[in-house]
Formats: sequence, structure tokens, C-alpha cells
Amino acid sequence: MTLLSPLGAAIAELAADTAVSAITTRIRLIEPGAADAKSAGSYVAFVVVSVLDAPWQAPTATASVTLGLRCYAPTFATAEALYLACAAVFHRKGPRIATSRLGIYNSLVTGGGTFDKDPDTSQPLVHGIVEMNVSIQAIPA
Amino acid sequence: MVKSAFGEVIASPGTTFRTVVRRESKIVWNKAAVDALYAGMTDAMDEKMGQIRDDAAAHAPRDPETARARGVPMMADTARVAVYAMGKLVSGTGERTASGNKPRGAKTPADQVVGFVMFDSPISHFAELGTIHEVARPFLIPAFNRNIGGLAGIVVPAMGKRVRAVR
Repeated sequence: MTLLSPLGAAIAELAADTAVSAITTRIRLIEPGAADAKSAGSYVAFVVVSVLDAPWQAPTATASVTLGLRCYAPTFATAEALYLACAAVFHRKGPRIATSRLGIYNSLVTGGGTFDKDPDTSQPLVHGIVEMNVSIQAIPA
Repeated sequence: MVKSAFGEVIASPGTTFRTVVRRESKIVWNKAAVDALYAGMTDAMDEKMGQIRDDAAAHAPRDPETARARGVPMMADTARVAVYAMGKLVSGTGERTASGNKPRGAKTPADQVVGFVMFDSPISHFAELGTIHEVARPFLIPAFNRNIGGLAGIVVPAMGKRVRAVR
């Protein structure tokens, strides 16, 4: 039995979106890349996607995945634009099959849109919470 | 020509009739029972929020050295519950803190029962969601998902208990 990563599918969807890639192509899993964390004056835009919870729904062989988005940018305006672009990728989207053959039944932005500053670098960011109902196994071609 | 059951003429051909609906009954609210339903829901919400709070607190960061150095309680010890019924705080602490009794922007409509589980720390969301230098270590969302099931098993008995007390 091959199990697929919902996080990988989410990253792939974000990376494939033109509105997101127009702002940044730095889409990161779990933690920022080595060159992403900058000091004031040299901030760069990037997105960090992490899994906040992913309980399996045994009766239906699906998982309810909660993803956390952190959209960093040099300014709050850009961070918000990045967040909105990311949110549009997931919000109220219906059934689809990821390139990895993971089945995504639906996805919804359930929280976030809140402005903040990173406590370490003071870089502007906007948080987001995404719920995805996905298959556990690959969908046959 | 319309005649009655006894043969009298009660309306000529030129008479027009107007149908008047007579209201035979009206709804009377049993206000005590309605209040009991709200009270039962509040009891259930308080119990469920308490379960989520305890679970989340058990998994929240505990760093006694940092807390001592900063002179603040450990994050895990700042968990609390607030339940609002009909727009009023009815359970949980009424103490106002820097962030108030509920999250900013959260609505507590007058016709609903709303529960909150909160960590009264300005950096708790960074622990939950992560920062540039720290990965996310979620404790509240998983606790919610683990405990939110079976709500009906708490709500129905709680409402029944309150409503039976009204009779």
C-alpha cells in the first residue's frame, strides 16, 4: 500500500498557481529555506506550509488534513496579496486529483488572514488555515 | 342563489363572498423550556470546551526556565475556557486580560451558545503555527479534532436534564 503526502500535494498546487508564482516561487515545507530568513531591509517573499493535524477517517479511508500557511513578504501589503493568492488556490475547491494521484475531495480556507510579524525577524506575515479532505491512497489512473 | 341547510335564502346571485381565515390556535412559547434548552447547551459546551482545554494544555509547551526568566506563567498553564450564551459570558473566567475574554473579532450572537478555548499568551499562536526559526508545534487544533466528536452524546443528555427540571 502506497501512502501519499497531502502536504506534497498542497505544495504542488501552490507552486503551479500563476498568481502565487507571480509573487514568489519560494514554497516551503515545514520550515523556511536556508536563504529565506533575512533581516529588515532585505526581506523576501516566501510561503511555509505545515501540517497542523491530519487524523485519518478510518471508515472512509480518507484524512482530514489541517494545513497552516505562513505567507511572508517584505511588506504587509505584499504578504496579504500572497496570502490571498494562496487562499484562492484552496478555498471552496472541489474534487481533484493531485499530480501524485492523491485524491482531494474538497478544500476550504477556514481561518487566518491575520496580520502578524515574525517574533525573530519582525518580517511581515499573514497566517492562514486550510482544511483538506483527501484520500489516503493513490487514486488509480 | 345560496340556501342554508334549512332552506332559507342567505345570499342572492349578486352576493360576493370573502373568505376569512379564522386563526384557531397560536404559538405560545414556554420561555422556561427555551431557557432550559440554552442552559443545557451551555452545560454541554462548557464540558466539551473543558475537555479540549485539558487536552491542549497537556500538549502545550512547558518551559519552566524561560517562564521563570520572563516572569510569566508557562504557556500550558494559561489555557482557559469561556462560554457565551445569548450574548453573555456564562461560564469561564470573567477576568479581563490583555486579549479580552474572547479572541478579537469573535462573534457571540444573542441566539447562540459559543465556546472558546484560549491560551492567554501573546506567543501561543507562534508555537501553534511556527515561526521563521521554529517549526509549528500545534497543540490546540489537534486537541480540538480529537475531542470534538461525540458532541451529541453530551448535548442531548444535558438538554434533557435541564428541560426535565422545568416540568
